[in-house]
Amino acid sequence: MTVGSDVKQCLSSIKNVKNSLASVELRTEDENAKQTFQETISIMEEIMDDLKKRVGRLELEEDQYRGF
Amino acid sequence: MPDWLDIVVRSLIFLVILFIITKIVGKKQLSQLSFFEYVSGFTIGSIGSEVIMNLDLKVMHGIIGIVIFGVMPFVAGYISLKSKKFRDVMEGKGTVFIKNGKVMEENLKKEKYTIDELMQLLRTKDVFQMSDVEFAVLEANGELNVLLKKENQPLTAKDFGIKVPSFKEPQTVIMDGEILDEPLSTIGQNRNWLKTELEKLGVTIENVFLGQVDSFGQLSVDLFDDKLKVADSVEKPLMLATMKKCQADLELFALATNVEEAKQMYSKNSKKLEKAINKVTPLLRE
Repeated sequence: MTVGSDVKQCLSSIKNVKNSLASVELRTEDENAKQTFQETISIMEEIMDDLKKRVGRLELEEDQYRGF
Repeated sequence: MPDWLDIVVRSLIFLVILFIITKIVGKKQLSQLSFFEYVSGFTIGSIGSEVIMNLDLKVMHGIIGIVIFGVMPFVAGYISLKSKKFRDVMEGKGTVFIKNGKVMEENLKKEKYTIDELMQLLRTKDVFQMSDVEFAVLEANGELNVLLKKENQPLTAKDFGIKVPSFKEPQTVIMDGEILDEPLSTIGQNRNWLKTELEKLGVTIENVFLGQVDSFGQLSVDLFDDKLKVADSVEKPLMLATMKKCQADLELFALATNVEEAKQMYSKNSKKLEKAINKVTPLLRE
């Protein structure tokens, strides 16, 4: 295992959580809860963007583990 | 007509009349909230039984009596809605028995209640110690309502300052194996969605005795066959656990890396995620 693959794993976990949150958010009726879910989703997206950038850098460094 | 047949006919007639009268007068009559409803309640009952059993009395007279006693509370209720004064006279006012933790002996005497009876009423409210009570009032219907001192009241989320998600009432969507379409459309779903959810749980619709959907769109079912086990939904706890794991991972990355820029990025995101977790935890906890 390399750092690159660890970070990728984390990234995909966050992606997974984001999607689950989105599906729960759709099914929720309460406005306040909906808003909280939306805020959490956007935080997840910000984290995903940062991690994606980092994965790009790591792939450059660990060329043999490319592919995401 | 033989006597026994007369009684049968009278019984049936009065059953129907009493049913209609209670339907018209409404639920208030049944709860006997005020003196008026209380009195008319048992008067109607005794008129009915008297006329049924006493064959010398005319059915028509009984009906007139019942209708009057049925309609009067109705009229009184209507006037009560409009006038506060009339309401106070007809339905009575509550009497304060305990105020600021002190028993109001005058009021007790006025209502002819002894201290034993007051203690008894308090005990029906699970209060055994007079000093626990801040305020108690004897309602017009004879019930004692008690406000406990703040330190004796049950703790609520507000006392702890915890934010709890607000809930809407759950909708019952399956009863006796039948899909109820109206509540289903209230939550904005359709039969197809319900079928998919049932498939996820691995049960067939015929086997479901009761199915309810909570305000997060989560379906929970009770089955006819109680030996079958329904999988608990792990979606939300799993989500929370994954978020926590990711947050720990990010912290680990921040410690492991030597690149200053990456270190900062990781710890910044880890903090962000931690905040998000704190915010969303009350919603995801079962």
